[in-house]
Amino acid sequence: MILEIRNLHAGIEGTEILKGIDLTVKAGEVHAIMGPNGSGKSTLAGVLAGREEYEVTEGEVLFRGENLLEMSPEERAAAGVFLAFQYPVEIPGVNSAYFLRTGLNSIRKSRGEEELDALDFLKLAREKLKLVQMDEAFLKRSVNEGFSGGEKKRHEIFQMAVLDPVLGILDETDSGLDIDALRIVAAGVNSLRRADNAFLVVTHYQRLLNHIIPDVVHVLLDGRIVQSGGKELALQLEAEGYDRIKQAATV
Amino acid sequence: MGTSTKKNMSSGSGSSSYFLPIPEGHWLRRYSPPAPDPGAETPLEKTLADLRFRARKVLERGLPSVRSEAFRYTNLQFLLSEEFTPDRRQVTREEIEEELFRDLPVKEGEHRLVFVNGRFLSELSTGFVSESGLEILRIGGGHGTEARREEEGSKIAEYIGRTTLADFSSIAAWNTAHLHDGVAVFVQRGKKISEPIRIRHFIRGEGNRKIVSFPRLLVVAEEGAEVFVAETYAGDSGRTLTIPMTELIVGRAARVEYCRVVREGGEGVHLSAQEALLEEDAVLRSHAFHFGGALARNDVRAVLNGENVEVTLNGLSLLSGTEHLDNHTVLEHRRPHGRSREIFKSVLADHARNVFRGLIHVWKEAQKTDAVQSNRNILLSPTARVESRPQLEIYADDVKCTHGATVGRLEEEALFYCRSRGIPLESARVLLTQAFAADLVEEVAVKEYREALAEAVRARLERMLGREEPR
Repeated sequence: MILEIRNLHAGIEGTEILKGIDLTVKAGEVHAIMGPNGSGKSTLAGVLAGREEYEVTEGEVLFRGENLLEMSPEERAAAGVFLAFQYPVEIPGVNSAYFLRTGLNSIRKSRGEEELDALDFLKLAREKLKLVQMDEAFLKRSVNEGFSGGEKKRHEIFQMAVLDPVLGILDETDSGLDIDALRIVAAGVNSLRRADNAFLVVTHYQRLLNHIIPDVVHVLLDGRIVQSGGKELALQLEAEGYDRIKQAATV
Repeated sequence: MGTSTKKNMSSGSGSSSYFLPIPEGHWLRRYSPPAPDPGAETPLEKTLADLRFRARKVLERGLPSVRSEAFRYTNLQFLLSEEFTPDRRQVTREEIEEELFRDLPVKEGEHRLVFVNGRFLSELSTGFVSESGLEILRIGGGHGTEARREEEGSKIAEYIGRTTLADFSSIAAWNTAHLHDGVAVFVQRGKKISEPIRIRHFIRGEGNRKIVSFPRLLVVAEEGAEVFVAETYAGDSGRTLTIPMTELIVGRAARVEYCRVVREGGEGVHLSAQEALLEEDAVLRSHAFHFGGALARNDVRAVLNGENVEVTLNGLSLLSGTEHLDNHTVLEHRRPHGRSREIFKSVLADHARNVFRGLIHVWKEAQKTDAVQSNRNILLSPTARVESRPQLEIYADDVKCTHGATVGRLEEEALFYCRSRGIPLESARVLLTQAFAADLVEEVAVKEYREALAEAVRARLERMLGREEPR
């Protein structure tokens, strides 16, 4: 079992956003979390990655049997959780290679593994850059600075490939992508799918799920999962919109 | 007539509160040589005697108090009660060798002059130079034949004190009143000196004695000449006071890069004056790195005295504990088509305090001036303080002048981004503050120095951030 969320309640500054989430993700699975704006999708992603502005008021989250909520964001990363940001942060003055190598080596160090030197890291990075069709020149550029929307998202997937997480969380990775970039991003994610890891794909629209085929689709509405099903559920949502489910949920 | 009386009255009555009297016999007024030299014979002796005489007049005015606008945030009253004396000892190589190259490593081929508490240490220096093209001379008496000395002296006499123009700032006056030694660098017309010139000051107290020194540097780049000069001040234990003055005279189409690194000891006080005078088409790139000291005040001025001059004035300071730094900068655009870029940044931890005043003064003739000033500060602790005072005085009507100041904390979102990639909080804070400082380090032209500075920044930030309470 990779992730078990039980009756998770969380909010920000006294306002409850997640109102009792139950979700179980097994190894080898891809789960999609769909929902309209304001349903709590990004909050869920943020709580799992350890965003400190959210307060968990009830429930528990187990990551491979360990209490995830007790861990700091860096401990979660070391344990194998990765969040691909909806809005990747620009860090002028730190180049991408240095940034990611520092992260990777911090993680390796905490696991008692040997750190990679600049040369070994470069080898690894080159290989992973190919997955998202990015040029090596990006390694020398400041993190996300001056990147286009598509480049930022590909850069997120590249980082995920290098850190090789057990659970990859994609927060609205499809937002702002044209169809070509979307395909590249999806292909990158697909190439990382294995029997021993899992992905949580948070998205408003179904189109990303044409390329990353989920095993389970959950519909999040007002902080609760109101419906779960197979990949066809995403298509149904695309055709009918969220309104019908909203009506069904309130009846 | 009426006006002049009024003026006299106001300056007369004002002076008592804006200045604190420095009594006769006080160490700041204990001069060597004591009186304007009646025996001065050579042009250099005459010039120095005249400069000292004028500077000493300024000291008679007194010590600027916190009531004077220029020293509003920096109280120097302790100079009146504490007793500082020059170091009379001869320090040996063994005593300081280990410390000496900590901030900037030795670069192959560099010219290096080492001073300890203001006294020249020949053993660790590469020596003075007297070649065609480049001359590195000692202001306080040269070497070689008497005729040669006199020739060199005349050259120094021609330029020394030129940047002070009509007025002395207080700090420039204190240095000049005690001027008897220092380094003068001359780069001849059209010569491009590829090896950096490095002046290395080592400062430390001597038991209970508080030590003062008055280092002086003069750099003259003649028409079309190019040179890189680095000055480093490394402090050690004990109460010390350093009052340096640097003059940069950049001739027509000449280019001077000047890098200054100050890391005073925990009780070290640093009061400096840096004056630059630029002629037509000249370029000055000035970088100041401040890595510590109990109290520091830098008076920095660049006068764009010809058309089409380009000045870069950068400053980076990393402060912690109760350290206090006051940077007082003036860019004086006197002629048309001048460009100035001024970036001062600081990172403050604990109870540190940073004061920045940046005056851009555009004269009426200085049309098409393009001046950009930026002062950015990061506070790592709620008890750190910043005073930022940009000032524009513009008398020309066709100019582009912008300034901006920011004071903030590290961005939470950027910290979270780093941590989500596995970088622990403390390292993430070092990484982000290092990134904040990186562009100013990157601008230093000499690769070896740039790398050493990046490392010095990282090490200091680690110490500053390591002490902090985790949140």
